[in-house]
Amino acid sequence: MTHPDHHDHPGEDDDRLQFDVSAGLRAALDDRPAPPPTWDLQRMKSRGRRRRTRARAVPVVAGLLLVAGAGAVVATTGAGCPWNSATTTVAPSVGGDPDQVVRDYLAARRAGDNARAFDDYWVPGVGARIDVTGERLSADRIDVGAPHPEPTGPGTPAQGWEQAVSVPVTMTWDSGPGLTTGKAPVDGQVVLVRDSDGQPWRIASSFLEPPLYSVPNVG
Amino acid sequence: MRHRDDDRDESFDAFAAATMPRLRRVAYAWCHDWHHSDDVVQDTMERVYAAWPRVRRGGEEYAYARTTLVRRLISENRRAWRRHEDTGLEAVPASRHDTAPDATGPALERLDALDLLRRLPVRQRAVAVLRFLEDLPVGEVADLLQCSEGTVKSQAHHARRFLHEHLTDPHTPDGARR
Repeated sequence: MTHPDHHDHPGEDDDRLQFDVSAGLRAALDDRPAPPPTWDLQRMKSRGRRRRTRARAVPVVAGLLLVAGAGAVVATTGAGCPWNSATTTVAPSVGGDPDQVVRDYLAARRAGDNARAFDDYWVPGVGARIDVTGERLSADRIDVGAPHPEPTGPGTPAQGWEQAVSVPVTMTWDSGPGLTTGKAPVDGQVVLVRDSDGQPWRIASSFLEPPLYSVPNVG
Repeated sequence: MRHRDDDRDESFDAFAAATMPRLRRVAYAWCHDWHHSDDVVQDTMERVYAAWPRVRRGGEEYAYARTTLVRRLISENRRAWRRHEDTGLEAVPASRHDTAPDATGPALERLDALDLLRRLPVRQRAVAVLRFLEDLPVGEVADLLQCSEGTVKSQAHHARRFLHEHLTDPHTPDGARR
């Protein structure tokens, strides 16, 4: 057999070779005594099925192991979500004054310890709000003022609670989704609530959002 | 489901009946051991059967099976435990494996093409089997052996010259013998 497209070497030696290697190999194979094949088609197919089952099972098992591993991490570290920070940087001021609670809360937010900040300083049941605002607070020049009483009537942030105070906060927002240029002054308040004197103050509402418009650089 | 499985089995049986003898010859040319060739072909066809629906959709069933076989043989050549089967090759110093055939052993003029093939270095033998027995183009051989086309051309050239030199009988009218 000839190989018109088989130019195996840049030289022309191969083209001049008189012997056809392919024919020689095939003839030698034909001449070589061969015992009957020993393969078993049914056994082969049975093993092939098992191989296919294994091939399908591996990704499923790997996925289950991944989920189990993530669950184990959450269970051992206590983090609400693996992608949220679980580092505790600020000890919660359980029995502190309202302004101290706000200072500690803002310190935790500035450290990026959002999971702890929201879990320890906010009243329960604000999970949805945490997901939206759960980013590192980038602010400086924070000034926390003295607390003053806050109404607890219907329509107020402290509705349903026995005691409520409002803590004024001013700070300079360094960056944020609503800020396109420079730094932004923020003048807001944090509302804290509790039901009795023995309970710690917890945040029910925070009006510390940056302005949703571009502001000049004041830094 | 049962009907689909039956159809798959039937198509595979027909493919296996036509393909396995051919793969067996390729494996034998490579390893020179019929029983081991059977083992390798059986293992290859197990893998093909495991992927049969996908292989069949691809439409190149034999090429898939041959690729599986060749990769199996290549991986085997890398294993130390198979080396005792390759005494004709392993007796050659490693530095010569990729360059020159083994000229030791019985007189070369008494050997047929398969015996001579066995005396080629591993890479040359692999190229020779795929090029001269399976008639694969250079590019496909290079893909299968994961080397450059230049390497395939060079190895095929050396293999062809070696086989030609020792198979050509100057005393016969056509200058060749089996």
